[in-house]
Amino acid sequence: MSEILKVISLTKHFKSSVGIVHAVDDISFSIEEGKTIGLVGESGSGKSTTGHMIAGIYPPTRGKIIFDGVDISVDANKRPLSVKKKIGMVFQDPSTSLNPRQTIEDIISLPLKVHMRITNYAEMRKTVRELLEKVQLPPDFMNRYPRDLGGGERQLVAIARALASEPTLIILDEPTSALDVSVQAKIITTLLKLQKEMGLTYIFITHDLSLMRNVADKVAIMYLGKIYEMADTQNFFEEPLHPYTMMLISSIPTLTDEEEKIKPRGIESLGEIPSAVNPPKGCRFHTRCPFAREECKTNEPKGEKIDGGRIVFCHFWREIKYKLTTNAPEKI
Amino acid sequence: MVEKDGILWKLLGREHKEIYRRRWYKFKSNPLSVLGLGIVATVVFSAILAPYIIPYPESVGLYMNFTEAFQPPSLKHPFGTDSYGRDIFSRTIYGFRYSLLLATVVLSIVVVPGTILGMIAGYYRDTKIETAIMRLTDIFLGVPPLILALAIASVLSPNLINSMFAITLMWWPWYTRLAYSSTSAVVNEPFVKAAQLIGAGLKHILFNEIAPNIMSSILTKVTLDVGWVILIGASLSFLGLGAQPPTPDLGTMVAEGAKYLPYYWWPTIFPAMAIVYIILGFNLLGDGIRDALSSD
Ligand SMILES: Nc1ncnc2c1ncn2[C@@H]1O[C@H](COP(=O)(O)OP(=O)(O)OP(=O)(O)O)[C@@H](O)[C@H]1O
Ligand SMILES: [Mg+2]
Repeated sequence: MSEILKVISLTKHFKSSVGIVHAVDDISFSIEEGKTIGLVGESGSGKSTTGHMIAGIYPPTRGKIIFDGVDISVDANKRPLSVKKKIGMVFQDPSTSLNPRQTIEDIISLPLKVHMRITNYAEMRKTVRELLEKVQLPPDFMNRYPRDLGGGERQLVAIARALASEPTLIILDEPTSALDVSVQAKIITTLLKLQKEMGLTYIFITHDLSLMRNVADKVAIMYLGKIYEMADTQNFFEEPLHPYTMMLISSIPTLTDEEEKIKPRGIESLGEIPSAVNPPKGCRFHTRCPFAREECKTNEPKGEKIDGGRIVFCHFWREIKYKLTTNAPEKI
Repeated sequence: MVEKDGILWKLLGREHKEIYRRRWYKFKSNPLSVLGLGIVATVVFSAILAPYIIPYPESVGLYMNFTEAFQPPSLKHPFGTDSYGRDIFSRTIYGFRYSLLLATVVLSIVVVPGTILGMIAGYYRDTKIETAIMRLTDIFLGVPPLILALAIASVLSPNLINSMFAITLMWWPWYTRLAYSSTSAVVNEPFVKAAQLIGAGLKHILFNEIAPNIMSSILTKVTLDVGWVILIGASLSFLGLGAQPPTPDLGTMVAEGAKYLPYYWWPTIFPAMAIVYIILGFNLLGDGIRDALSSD
């Protein structure tokens, strides 16, 4: 398996009226072709900003994005057409990401015109029809407008549009969170099916950690612009190492007693997320971490690599793990 | 590019019949809108058919018949006659032609470039392009409209063409400003971002993504503006800076008739009422169109 995307020390700072927003600060990760990386975190953790930089909505403040061996650390209009062809994006809310004044056919045919050089009208319609079939929508949808479709159907149209240029990487920014629960599963299964068929690589952004269990090969946990833990999905749920990860996992509602049993204990959601304008010094999570000590307030944790590509950013993860597994009292 | 429909159709959104039916229903449900449409229809039809329907075609030009001067309104002369003995009804109906001609010429020159400039300024927000375009429109809009037109019209020799030119020059910034604010509201929508990421060109983004979403406000303004352009044109004519006698221009007729007020009121009042009638019609129609378009 080859690495298709690699981001190195990616950073994005926004200027705002209240100061500099540290939306994303020095994060690095990579994805192998055909795999899915999940970017997970609470609101404001910089997930979308990361996705937007990779998609090319805006360039990074610092750091590099390497795609297929090519440096693409600029915004989309400075990237070669061949790169734009290979990277697709699906936005959170299909009611704003599809032009309300265009038919589904217009919407899906744009990437065909730009990248596939289809100029023959009959061929265009045929291709649009095939794309609709691919996402399991009836072909006669192409004459309709987005407002005539349900939320889930609209998102499938957005997915069909993203597929039209035959990309290798698709950025999915919370593709189900704006939709009814009833259609979320359908979107996810369609995405998984397409991935298998076409060998797609996904960057799957979500605040719903439980979703990642079935979708992602690798999960990166973000908090206030930083990645605090990254691991293969399997390990991740079995043995979360970072206290923030434990907090996220323990807030997932459980359905069975069995699930309840394996849930990490002793970590409750604590306090509010601080502002990204003045992120806490040291470990940004220390204001909410039940295990925080003096060192956490001053020193930024370095990433510690553990077997199997796993990486955790916490000064005391070993001790915390020991305490928790031996069921010691909560304070350390 | 694959073109399967005309550009206008595309700009209007090429929406299916259902939507037009819904809009028409909404339009129809307001009696004032229908009244506006009725007024506009009478104005347009009588303007087109004027040469065939007016009772005294010779009254339109330089015709004198002093024995008939200042006849009050009667069955023979519904609006009476003027100082030369010309039939004011015939001249008023013919005056619709000049009014509509003025509005058509001015708006057809102004709308497209004004709108495109505004879309460009809205698309290039926070750049020098935006600053340059919007400063320029601010300068034009800072001068009271009639004053600007007056200045231009008085530098050039007073006639219909030059008053059209003057109004044209002062009218485009309104479209630039409207298109700018509508575009600014649309340009950050994810569907525009999506098109940019795909790699669509500027032309596609302006005309296929943005334009269809701002067309309804532009269209509404065009309808409302027909009345206002006619009013400004009439004001210029009234001040002697527009069409010159004996042209049966409504503003000119009001000005000429005003000399004989209050004793002979009809040479003034009927053309003035005709101006009000046109403006009222287009305003009601414009409001109706706005309501109908905002329903979807
Ligand atoms: N264009 C921008 N200008 C200024 N600040 C921004 C901008 N975009 C994002 N931010 C800020 O950057 C931080 C990260 O935002 P981002 O949208 O990436 O978070 P997120 O993890 O996607 O959250 P959510 O779950 O709410 O979508 C937030 O504090 C946000 O307010
Ligand atoms: Mg987001």
